Amino acid sequence: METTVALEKKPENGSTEIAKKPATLQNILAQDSVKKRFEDMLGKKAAGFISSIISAVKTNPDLGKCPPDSIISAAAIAATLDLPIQNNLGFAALVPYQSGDTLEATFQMMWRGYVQLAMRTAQYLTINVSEVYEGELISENRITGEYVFDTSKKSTDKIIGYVAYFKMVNGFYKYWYWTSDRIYKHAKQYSQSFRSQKDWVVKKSRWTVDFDAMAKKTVLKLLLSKYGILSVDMQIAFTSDFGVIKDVDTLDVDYVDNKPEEVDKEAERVELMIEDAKTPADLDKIAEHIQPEQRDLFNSKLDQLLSQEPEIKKDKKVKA
Amino acid sequence: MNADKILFRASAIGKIMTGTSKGWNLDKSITAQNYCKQLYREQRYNRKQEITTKYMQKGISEEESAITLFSRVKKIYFKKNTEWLTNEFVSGTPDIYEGQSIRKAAHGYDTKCSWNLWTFPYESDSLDTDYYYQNMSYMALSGAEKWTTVFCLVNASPSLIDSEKKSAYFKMGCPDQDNKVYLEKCREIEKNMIFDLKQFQNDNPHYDLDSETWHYDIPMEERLIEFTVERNDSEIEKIYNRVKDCRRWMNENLFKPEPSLLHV
Repeated sequence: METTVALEKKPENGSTEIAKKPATLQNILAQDSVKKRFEDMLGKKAAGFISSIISAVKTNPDLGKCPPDSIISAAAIAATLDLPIQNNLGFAALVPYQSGDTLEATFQMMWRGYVQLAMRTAQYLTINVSEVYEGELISENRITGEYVFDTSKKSTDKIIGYVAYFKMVNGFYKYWYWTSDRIYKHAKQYSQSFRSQKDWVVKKSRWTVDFDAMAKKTVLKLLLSKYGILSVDMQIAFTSDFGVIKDVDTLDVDYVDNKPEEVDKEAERVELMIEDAKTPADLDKIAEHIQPEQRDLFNSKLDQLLSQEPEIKKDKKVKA
Repeated sequence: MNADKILFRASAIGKIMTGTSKGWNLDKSITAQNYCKQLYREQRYNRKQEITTKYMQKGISEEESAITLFSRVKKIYFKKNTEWLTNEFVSGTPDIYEGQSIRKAAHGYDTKCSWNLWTFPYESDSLDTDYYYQNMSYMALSGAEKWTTVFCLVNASPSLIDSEKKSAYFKMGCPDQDNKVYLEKCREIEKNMIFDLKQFQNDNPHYDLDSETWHYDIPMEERLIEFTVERNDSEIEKIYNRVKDCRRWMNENLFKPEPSLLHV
């Protein structure tokens, strides 16, 4: 005799749903519980911080498309660390990230944010990060990990690498130097958006938008994580960086940019067939299957083929 | 509960199509009986038997790659069908088709990923009878007049390649990673499982190959072998009759009536 076990949970009471205000960012930030949360973290600075969240959304339309709770969770991390989220200050930022069909707000530390957190520990005498130009790297001692740089020996404006350095109050000091190539490979390996096969995705990656800042953050983060003294705030920063914050209290973070990319095989098929095309007739067969982001590739290939067959009419282009 | 409505999967129909049509007797066909027993337990206990070999794994993981290869060679864009078709006797999810829809297909195709060059068929080979009847079942379901089995030679995934290398590593008694014989074996594995290096590197940019040089790509056109079957309604009828026989056998031997509680 078959027995079917009901898996759905019934509501605990017979209450009916009360009509609620739409869950916009402004409405959520206006709630007393949310305001109190920020006041507990920031005290008198809470009101200004809440304004900075609204301001960040206004200046970045894509951020406004993210679910309000992901924006607030990411902002809550910045508030926990007492780091401002204005992009121009360069401490921390709320950055929208496209994951499949959805946009989510991620919390991102910037290199100045890490310096700020390090200085707050009062353990560091000095801490800095810089680009290294051609000619400036004089020597490297692999055994001691020491480098010799001489900025007066700069020969060109070409950046060959990035170096992070700190010296602690107890006298301990350390360098972390990576060449630009090494950083580029690191970005390709760990940033899904940067290694995407789609041009429009790569263009939106933080590594494309500001490679310099991302490179500095990378070497500084590596130096601190391996040789620095990590305060509780620093650990929170490391854990939350580049993540969609699912739960602020338990630090449940989803690292959306570091997942193996799910390749759209059907889109890839179209792109390969566009590449393979030897005549405009070949392109005709796939025209109805191209996606909007493939139009440029399609039209570019068509131009190339038409230039080889000028008598064919140029009305085959796919319009935007 | 009985076998009257059990549908036989097109992909496994070959198991009941054994022997000649003359004097075929299910009582003498162990293959057909075993398949009937499997179907009985699936129905009775609402479970499916999970069998996955590395060859099946490649077929599953590289199905889209096979469709891409076929599309590129034929210069026709194909998309994987996901609709499950049934009729009174058989069921199945055909891969790709040409025509108005999968239920009104003109010509269908079933892709098969060969494990390596040595399991890839020759044009002069005959199509396995299991695939012949599978194609016939798909034509019964879709209305198509022709169905083609397309054998494809596509790159294996890094996980399958690494699995082969790991197997070689243990068989060789866990040699040093830079052991020349082991490295040569790894290179041979790569040669036997990768046929389009540019595509492999595009798909897997962070995979470190053991091969230092590469000139082993096989042209796309040489990585497809097709076997086409024409629709034959008497063969389809034969499939249906076998399904009826199997259902009868299952009802007599497996779906036994429960003893009455009132039996004295």
